[in-house]
Amino acid sequence: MRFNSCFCISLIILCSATTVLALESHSSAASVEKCINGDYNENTDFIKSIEDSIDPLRLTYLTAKSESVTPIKNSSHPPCLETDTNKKQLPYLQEIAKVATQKINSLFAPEPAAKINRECIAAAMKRNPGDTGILCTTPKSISRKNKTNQCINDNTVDYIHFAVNSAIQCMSSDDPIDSRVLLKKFNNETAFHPSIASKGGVGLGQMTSIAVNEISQGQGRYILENIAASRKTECKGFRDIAAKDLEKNPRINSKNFCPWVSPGDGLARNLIYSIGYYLTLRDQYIIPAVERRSSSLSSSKDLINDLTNISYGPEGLKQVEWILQKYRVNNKTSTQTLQSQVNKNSKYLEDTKNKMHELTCIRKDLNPAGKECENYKLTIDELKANTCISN
Amino acid sequence: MHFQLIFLLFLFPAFSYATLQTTAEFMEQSHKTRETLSKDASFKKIADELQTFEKSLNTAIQEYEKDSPLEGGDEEEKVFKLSFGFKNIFNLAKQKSASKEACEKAKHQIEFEDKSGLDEDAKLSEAAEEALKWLELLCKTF
Repeated sequence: MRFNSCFCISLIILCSATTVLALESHSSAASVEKCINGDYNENTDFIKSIEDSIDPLRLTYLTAKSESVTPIKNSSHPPCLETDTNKKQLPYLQEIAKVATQKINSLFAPEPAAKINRECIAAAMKRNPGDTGILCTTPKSISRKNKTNQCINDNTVDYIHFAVNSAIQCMSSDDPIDSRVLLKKFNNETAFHPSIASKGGVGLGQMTSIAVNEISQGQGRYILENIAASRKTECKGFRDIAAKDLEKNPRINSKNFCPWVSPGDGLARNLIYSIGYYLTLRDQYIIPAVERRSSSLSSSKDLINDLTNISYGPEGLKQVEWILQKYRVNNKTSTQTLQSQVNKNSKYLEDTKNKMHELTCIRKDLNPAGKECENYKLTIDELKANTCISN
Repeated sequence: MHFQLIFLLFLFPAFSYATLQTTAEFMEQSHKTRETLSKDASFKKIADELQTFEKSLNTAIQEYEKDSPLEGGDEEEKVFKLSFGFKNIFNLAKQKSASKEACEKAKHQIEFEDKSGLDEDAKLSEAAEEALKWLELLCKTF
């Protein structure tokens, strides 16, 4: 009897997922011909591999998508001029009390991280990241040398937008993740193309073995533990992978990058480790390194973000420690002076700015290789990516 | 008399520059000390040598700071990064003994802090390689 009911429930879940998948693949089949990044329209393998994946993150996305198109039922709130019987007023008052409680709670709850706008992810994905893309449509990964770009369509952007923002919300704690840093990082490294992999790094955040070890066995292990234990809805697509990786330390295998780049578990895993690595560097290394020299500088989020960004890039942690030593950082050091010195001294930050320039040109319909784009001067808000986030 | 004073003024910066130890000198010091230690040297003996080495590195960095108070230069960068590469082994040397876990953690930290941000097949720096040799020596004692 128990077996039968379990079987029925499983069957219902499977049928619902299949229906949503079928609807998704039907809706995207029509838009496949629109390769929004200028790739050739027959290059649909990557889009197909996303549509075929049925991992928790993908299923969460499909569920959220189907819920967002469900027609909104009539409001349960009575109209303002409804008869004033006690019976009708009660649910209304209960609703007011509920909203008031939520407002009060939100005053004490940690501020949620801002979301990266879809428009900016779309613009980033139209850039050519200029690296090798891997396809995981077959059990063995296929390398597409000299043809980096996978064809992407609007559905691909929707999915990446959902996945990245879910991971940011899932992994934000009392000190929320600065989404602008991740936008600039992912735009610089891979232009949000999750399939890019080489010996330089794997997936969205270009993870390397040493960085993965730092999360799974080093100072960042708490990241996996927090996700595995989290009850947040946004963690639904990441929880199982975190729990699995806590038991079996994952490794990057250069012969098969798929556990890190496949649209299934690979994307979710890559987001956990890429964002986790940023948090580990920020909280376990950069903030303590700055605090050892000055108690006041660590409160500057922009400075901490710039230094974390440098340590995440090829200049690494050693360079950050050296910058602090080079400029004799102490309690008397001014934040602005140090920040300008930091920016002058990092090629990686310069590269990141150039890629933001490219992204902004695409957003403004300017040819990134054209004269008009070259002459376009970014505003401070565009440079800081303030125009790419919203609450 | 004037000539002698001018000569001394010219000589002073040259003399003070000559006292600043370079990375090559520190690496040589590290190699020599490590090689003179007997194979059955105790944890304390190795730790003492490491602490002496740490002191001379710290003194050198302070000298560089005095020499150039506003901004560090290229040679200081090399000495500083050498000292940074040894940071985890210096911390281990301050313990009473080395456990297997502490040794594994120090090895991971040395490699991570040296290679963070670099390509998969990037080699460890000379400083990190030297620090790992000291670690091997120190971790033979538990």
